Amino acid sequence: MKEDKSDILQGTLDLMVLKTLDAMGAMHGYGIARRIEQLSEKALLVNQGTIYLCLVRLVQRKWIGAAWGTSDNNRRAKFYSITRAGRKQLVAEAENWDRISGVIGRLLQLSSRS
Amino acid sequence: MNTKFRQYVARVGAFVRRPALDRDFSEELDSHFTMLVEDLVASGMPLEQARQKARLDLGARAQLLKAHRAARGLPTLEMLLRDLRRAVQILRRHPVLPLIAGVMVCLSRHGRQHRVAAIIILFVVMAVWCLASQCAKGNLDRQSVVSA
Repeated sequence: MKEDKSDILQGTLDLMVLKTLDAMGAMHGYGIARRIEQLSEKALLVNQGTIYLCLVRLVQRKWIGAAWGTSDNNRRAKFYSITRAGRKQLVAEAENWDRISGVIGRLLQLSSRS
Repeated sequence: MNTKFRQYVARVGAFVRRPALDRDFSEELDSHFTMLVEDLVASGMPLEQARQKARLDLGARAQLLKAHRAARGLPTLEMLLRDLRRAVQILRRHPVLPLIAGVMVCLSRHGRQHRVAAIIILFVVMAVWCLASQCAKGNLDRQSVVSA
């Protein structure tokens, strides 16, 4: 069960997908990919198709659910939405992220003074 | 731990339902492609150019299918099965090799001294046959066969 990308990038992408679905409700893969491209300036996705590798992993962990539906433009698309377990994970991940960024922030301040 | 176990069960399930999940993902990519092209055309791009850009933005389909399979299933087991299938195919195409190997194993099991000679003869025959077939295919030149 080796994962290709580095764990930090993977974790960042997972967190962004969970947060996006939490904030914006059910979305299809295309919408999620576009949103993440906008936020990360293409730093996290090699191409838009890569989003599905993250999505399928999150579905398997039952952090998000997936169901076929119809888009605003009457297009058939698979919609993803966050589950209760996913919200719990999001809270835990966000706290973890806050703690780490706090530590790194303090560390960088320290080195710029000396 | 719970999540890990759940994911493992899901991976086994995905491995078993591979054809159906491949189709599902393929449809999802089709739908993504269509929406992306529509948006590009709506922003003023000519259709053919939009299709080309959408293909680039989405990524190569064959690669995505392969990566998706690896992300959701059991890639190591899949690779092992593919190698085994390939090995069986090759051995069926050249049945002399496994036949000789089988005879050698049978002979060595009985372990009588005079059978050692038979094994050596078989080995030499097999080695020559292998080299000759490689030579015929052009993988080796005659010089290296002679020096071997």
